[in-house]
Amino acid sequence: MTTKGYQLSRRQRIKGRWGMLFVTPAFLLSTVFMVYPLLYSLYISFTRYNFAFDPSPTFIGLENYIKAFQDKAFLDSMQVTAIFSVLYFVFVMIGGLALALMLFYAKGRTGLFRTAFFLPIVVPLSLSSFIFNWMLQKNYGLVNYFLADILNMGHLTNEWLSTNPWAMISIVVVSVWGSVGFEAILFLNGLQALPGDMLEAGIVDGSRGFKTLYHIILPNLRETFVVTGIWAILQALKVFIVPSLVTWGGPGTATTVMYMYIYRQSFTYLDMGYGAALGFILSVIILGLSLLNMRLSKRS
Amino acid sequence: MKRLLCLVLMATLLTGAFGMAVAEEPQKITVMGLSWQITKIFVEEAAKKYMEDHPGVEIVIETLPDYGSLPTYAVDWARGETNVDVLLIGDANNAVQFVARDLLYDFDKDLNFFAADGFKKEDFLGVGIRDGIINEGQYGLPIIVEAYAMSVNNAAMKEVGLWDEATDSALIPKTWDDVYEYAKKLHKEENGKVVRQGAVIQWGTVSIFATLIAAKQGMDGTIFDENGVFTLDSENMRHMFEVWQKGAKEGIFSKETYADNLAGRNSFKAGITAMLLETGGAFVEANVNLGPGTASLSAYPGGVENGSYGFSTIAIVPKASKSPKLAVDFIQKGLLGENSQVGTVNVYGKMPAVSRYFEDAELKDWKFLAGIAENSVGVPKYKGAARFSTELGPVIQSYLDEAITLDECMQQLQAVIDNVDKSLF
Repeated sequence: MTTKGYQLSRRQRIKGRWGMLFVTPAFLLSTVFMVYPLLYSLYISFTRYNFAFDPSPTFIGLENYIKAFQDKAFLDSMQVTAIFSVLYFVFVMIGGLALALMLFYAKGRTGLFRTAFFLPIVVPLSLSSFIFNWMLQKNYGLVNYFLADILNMGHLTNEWLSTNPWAMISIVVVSVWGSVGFEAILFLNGLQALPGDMLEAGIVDGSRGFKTLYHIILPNLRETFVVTGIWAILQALKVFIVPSLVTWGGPGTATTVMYMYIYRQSFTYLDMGYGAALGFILSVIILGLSLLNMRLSKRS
Repeated sequence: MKRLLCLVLMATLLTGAFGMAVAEEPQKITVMGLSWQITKIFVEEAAKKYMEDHPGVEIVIETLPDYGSLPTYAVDWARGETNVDVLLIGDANNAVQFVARDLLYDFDKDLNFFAADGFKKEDFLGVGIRDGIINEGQYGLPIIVEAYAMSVNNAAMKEVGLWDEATDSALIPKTWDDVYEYAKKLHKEENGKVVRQGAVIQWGTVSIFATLIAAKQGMDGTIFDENGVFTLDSENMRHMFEVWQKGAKEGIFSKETYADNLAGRNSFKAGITAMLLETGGAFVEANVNLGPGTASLSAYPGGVENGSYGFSTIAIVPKASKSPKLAVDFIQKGLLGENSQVGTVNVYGKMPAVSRYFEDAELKDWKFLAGIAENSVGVPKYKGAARFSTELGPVIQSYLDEAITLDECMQQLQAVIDNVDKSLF
C-alpha cells in the first residue's frame, strides 16, 4: 500500500485495519438509521402512499412537490413560519448576546445567573409549553390572575392564546425563553476566546462601551455568529413543540407552522408521500438559509 | 389380537384427544387500550375476576401508547401475527383502516356474538352499536359511550332564574338564541376580569368537529344532505354561527378551548364557567371537585328530541388472534360485565354501552344523557375523516374572529368536506 510513493509499514497497515474495524459500527449505525431512512423517505416523497390504506407506495414523480406549491394551507404555514422565524431570530440573537455580555463583564460570582439562564434548556420544552399554556389561559391562567387580582389592572387581561397577534407573540416569547440561555452560553464562549490584550489595547486607545462592542467585540465574534446564527435558524424553522402545545396552531391557522403542517400530513392523515415531500422542501429551505448565514458572516 | 385392537383404539383416542387439544385455542389473551381506558373501564379488575372464575386462563393487560401506532398493527395483522387479542379504540374511525384490509372479525357474522344467550343488539345504546358498524359489518363492539350535552352549574342557573322548580332541573334551551340569552344572564365581569364565564362551547381544533355534529344533529335531526353526503350547511347552522360569533365577540362565549381542549372542563369544574357545551360526562367532574349536586345536565338545542354527537370506546378482535372465542367471552363477561359497566358510570362518568346498567347508575342525569345518546350520531366513517377534525376548526375560528365572512366560512367548510375522501376503502 502506497500513498504518493510512501510505503506504509506493516504496523501501520495493521493499525489502519483496526481503525477501519472501530469505525465500522458507527458507519453501519449511521447507514442503517440515517442514510437509509433519508434515501427511503426521498423515494417515498415521489410516491403516493397512505400508510393505513395503500399496501405499497405508487411512484408519481414530482406530483407531491408540485402539489405542495399549489397547497394554500402549506403556503400559509410557510408564511407563518417566516414571521415566527424573523421574530425569534432577532430576539434570541440579541437576547443571547446581551445576556452573554452581562455575564462577561459582570464582576464577582455569576454562577447563579448562568444557572438561571441555562435552566430553561434543562426543562423539557414540552413540559414548559404545557405550563405556559395554563399560565396564559383566560379564565384560570396565572398571567390574568396576576394582572387583575394582584396588580388590580383587570383591563389588561386578555385571551393571550386565542387572539391575534397575541398568540404569535406568546409562542415567540416561550420559544425565546426556552433557548436564549443556550445562545448566551455560545456567545459567552466566543467572548471568552477573545484575546485579552486586544480588548486592553482598545481601552488604551480610548474605546469605551458601545464603541468597544461595535468596533472590537462584534467583528471578532464572526465565527460565533456563524454557529449561533445557524443554530437559531434551525430552531426557528424547526419550531413545532411550542405552537403545538401552547396555541395548537390557532387562532385559525395564525400559528400553524410548517412542521405542524408536515406532521399532520404524515402522522394524522398518514399521507407519507406528501408529508415526505414537504419535509424535503423544508430541509432545502433550512440548508439554503444556513449557507446564506455562513456566507454573510464570513463576508462581514 | 384383542390386545392389538385395544392398543390401536387407545392410540386413536389419545391421538384424537391430542388433536383436539391442538385445535383448541390458547387460553391466554392480551387486552390493550389507552391508559385511561384501562383505568376507567376497570379492565384489570375484570381480568382478575375472569381469571378467578376460569382457572387456567391468563389475561394480560397492556397499554397502547397512542392511536398513532395503530397502522403498525395493520402491518402485523396482515402477516397473521398479533400481540393483542382485544384492542380498545376510542374512535371507531380508527378501525376503518383494519376493516379495509379485512383484518377484523365481524362480531355478528364471524363470531355470532348476538346469537348466543348473552347480549342482543337492542341491549346496547343505539349510538354505541351504530358506532361499531363499518361497511355494514359489526366490527366494533361498544364498551362505553359518551354524548355531547350541556353541563350546567346548578347554583348559577338558579341564581339567574334558569331553573325549572317543577322538574328540579335546569332549563333546556330550544334554540341557539336561547343559549346566547342564558349565557348573557350568567356572564359576570368585575374590574375587567371574568368572574363567571357565561358559556364555553368546545371550539378546540381537535373537538370542534364533534360540536358541529352535535349542533347540526340537534337542530336539523340529521348531518347528511338529501344525497346522504355529510354537510354543515343549513339555515339553522348559518344562524347558529352568527350567534356564536356575537357571543364570542362579547366574551360571553369563551374562546379558551382554541388552545386547550380541556380549558372549558377545567374552568367548569373550578366553578368559573356556568354552562359547558361538550361531552356530557364532564358534569360529574364538577360534582367531584366542588361537591355533590353542584352540576347537572341540560342539552344542546334539539338534543333531547334528535340527539347530538355520540361516540364510544369499541373493542375489536383481529383475525390474527389465536384465541377469538376467549376474547369474545372476556368481552362479554368482563368488559360488558356489571362491575366494569356500572363502575365506569358511577366513578368516572363514562356511560355504560349496555342500556340496562343505567338502572344502577346513581344520578338521574345519566338516564337523561342516555336518552340523548340513543339518537345521537358519530363521525361519518369516511376514509379521509381525520381531515375533518383538523381542517374544519381553523375555518370556524377564523369566522368567530371575524377574519372571514359567513359566506366565506360556509364556502370554506364545504371545500373541506368536498376535498375529504368520502369513500370507505
